[in-house]
Amino acid sequence: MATATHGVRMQYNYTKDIAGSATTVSKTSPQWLRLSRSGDTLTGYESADGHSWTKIGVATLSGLPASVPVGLFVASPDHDATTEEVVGTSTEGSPSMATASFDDVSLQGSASGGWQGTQIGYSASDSPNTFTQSGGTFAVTGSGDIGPMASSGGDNNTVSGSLIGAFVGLMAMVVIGALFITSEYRRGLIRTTLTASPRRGRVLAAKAVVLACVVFALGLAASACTMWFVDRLRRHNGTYISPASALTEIRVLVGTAAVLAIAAVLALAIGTIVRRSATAVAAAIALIVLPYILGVSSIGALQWMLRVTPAAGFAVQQTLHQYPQVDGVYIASAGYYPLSPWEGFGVLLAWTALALGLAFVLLRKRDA
Amino acid sequence: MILTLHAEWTKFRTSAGTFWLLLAAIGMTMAIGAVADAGVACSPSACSQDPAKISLAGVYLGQVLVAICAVTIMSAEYGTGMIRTTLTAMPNRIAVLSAKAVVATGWALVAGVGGVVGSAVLGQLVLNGKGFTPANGYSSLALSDAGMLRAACGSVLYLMLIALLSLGISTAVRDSAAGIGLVLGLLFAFPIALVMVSNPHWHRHLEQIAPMNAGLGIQTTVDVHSLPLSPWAGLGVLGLWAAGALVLGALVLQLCDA
Repeated sequence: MATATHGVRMQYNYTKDIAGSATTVSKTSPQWLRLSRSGDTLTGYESADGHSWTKIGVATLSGLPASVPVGLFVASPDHDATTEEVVGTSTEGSPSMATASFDDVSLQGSASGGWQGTQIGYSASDSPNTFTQSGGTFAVTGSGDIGPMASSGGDNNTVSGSLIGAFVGLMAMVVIGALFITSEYRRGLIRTTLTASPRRGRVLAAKAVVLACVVFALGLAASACTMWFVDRLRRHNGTYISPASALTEIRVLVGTAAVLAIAAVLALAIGTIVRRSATAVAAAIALIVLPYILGVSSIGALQWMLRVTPAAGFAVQQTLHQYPQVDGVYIASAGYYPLSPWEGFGVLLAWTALALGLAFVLLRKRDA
Repeated sequence: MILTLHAEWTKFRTSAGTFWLLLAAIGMTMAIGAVADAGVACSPSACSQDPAKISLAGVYLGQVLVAICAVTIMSAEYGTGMIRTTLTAMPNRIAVLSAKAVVATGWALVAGVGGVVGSAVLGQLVLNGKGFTPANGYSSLALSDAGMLRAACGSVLYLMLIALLSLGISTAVRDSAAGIGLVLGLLFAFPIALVMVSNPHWHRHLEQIAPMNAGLGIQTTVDVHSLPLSPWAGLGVLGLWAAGALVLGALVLQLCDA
C-alpha cells in the first residue's frame, strides 16, 4: 500500500510489515503498485512511473488456495486523541474517511467475476464507504485501518504475557540476594568470612557469581515450566497469542532468567552497601518493580522510568515490534517497551555494575 | 501497659536510622508527588484526571519506607536476639506487640501527615496553575475541600494501616528480608496480576481484595462511583488485611518459642 506519510509498505498476515521506499503518495505524485503471485509466493513491486519496477518484498503464504479474491483498498485510521489519566488512559477517537482514485488497473492471469465493493471490518451502516467505477478508473472511499496487529485494548497477548509471574519471582529472588550478604552481617559471620578470605573484592565477586548462577538456573527452570504450562492454558481458553519465532521464545526465557539473576545480584550489592536486610530488599524492589506500579498513573512517566531505572531490564521479554504507522497502545502492560530488549537489559546491568562497584569500594573501606 | 509502651518507645527512638527514615519518607513522598504534578499534562477542556491522586502519588513510595520501618521494629529484635530480653522483661507478649503497634502507627502518622500535607500543598501550588481550578469543573484542591480532605486523611490512615500490616507480617515471619519481601509482594503482586486478568468480573473482584488497589481508592475524588469499592470500604479491606496479619503475628508470638 502507498501511504501519505509512512512510505510504501507491503503487509501480510496482520503480523508482517515490509517497508518499501519512503515515497509518499498524493494527487500530484501518484504511485504504482504491483502484486504478482507464483504458487504460494506473492511478490510486491512499486514504481514511480509504471516502467521501472522495484521489488518491495516477498511473502510466502503456505496453503494459499488456487483462486483468491484480489482488490484495491482504501484505509483511513481513526483520528485519535489520547489523554492520560491517573488510572490508564482514555482515548477519544472519531472515524476518518479517505477517497482514493486508482487508474491503469490491470489484471493478468485468469480472473472471473467483476469488481465489487465490499466493506471489510465495518458494517455498511457504520461507514457509508463507496466505490465507483468509470472505465478503467476506480474511486474508492474507505475508513478504518489495516496493519500489523497492535495491541488495541492494552492487553498483553504475547508469549511473555505468560511470564507475568516473573515479577513475583523477582521479589523472592531479591530477598535471597539481599540475605546472602545481610545475614552474614547479622550473625557476625562476615568477620569469619573476611578473616578466612581477606581479599574482600574476591568475596563479593564469588558471592555474585554463585548467586547469579543459582538464580539463573532456578529462573530458567521456573520460566520454562511456566511458559509451557500457561501458554497451553491460554490457548486452551481461546486466547490469541501473537506468534513469535522459536529463537525469540528462547530469548524471552533466557532473558527472564537473566533478569532474575541480575536483580538478585543488584540486591546483593545494595545489601552490601546498606548492610540491612529490610532496606536492601525494599530498595531493590522499589527500583525494579515500583516503576511499573507508579507508571499506571502516567504513560509519560512510565516510558521515562523504563529507560532510566533498572525496571528497563524486563524489556528483554519484548516480542512485539512497534510500527510508527499503526496506532496502538504501546505500553509495557501490552508488551511494548521504550527500549529494545538488549538495551533494556543493559540498563539493568549498568545499575548492577554501578551498585557492585560502590559495594566493592565500601566493603574494602569499611570495618566489617 | 504504659511501661511497655515507654520501653518500646525508648528502643524505637534510640535505634539508628529512625529519624532519617522519617525524613526520607516525608521527602520521597513529596518528591514523587512533585514529579507527578510537574509531569501531568492535560487540556482544560478534555481531561478526566484526578488532581488528588496526582498530588498524592508519592504515597506509593512512602508506603515502602513505612513498611521498612514497621517491619524492622519487630524483626530487628529477632535479628539481634533482643526479643528474648524484651519478652523476659515484659512477659505479656500481646502487650509488647500492642505497644509496638502503637509506636509503628504513631511513626506512620507523623510520616504520613508530613508527606501528605506537604504533597497536598505542593499539588495545590502546581496543579492550580495547570488548569485544575473550580472554573474548569474541579473541586478546590485546598485541604478544606471535602474530597481533598478525605483523600489526604485517607492516605495518612492508609500509611498507618500499612504499618500495622507490616508489623503483623514481620511478627509472623520473624525476619526482616522475608517480612519486607512479603509485604511488598502482597502490595505489588495484585496490580501486576490485574494486568493479565482481562475477564471484567474477576478483574473487579481482584481489585476489591487487593490491599493496595482497594486501599488507595480513598485518594479518588473524580468518578468515585466507578470504583469497584467505595473509598472507605476500600480502606476497610486494607484494614482487614492488617487485622489478619496482626492476629497471625500475635498467634505466632504467643504460641511459638522466641
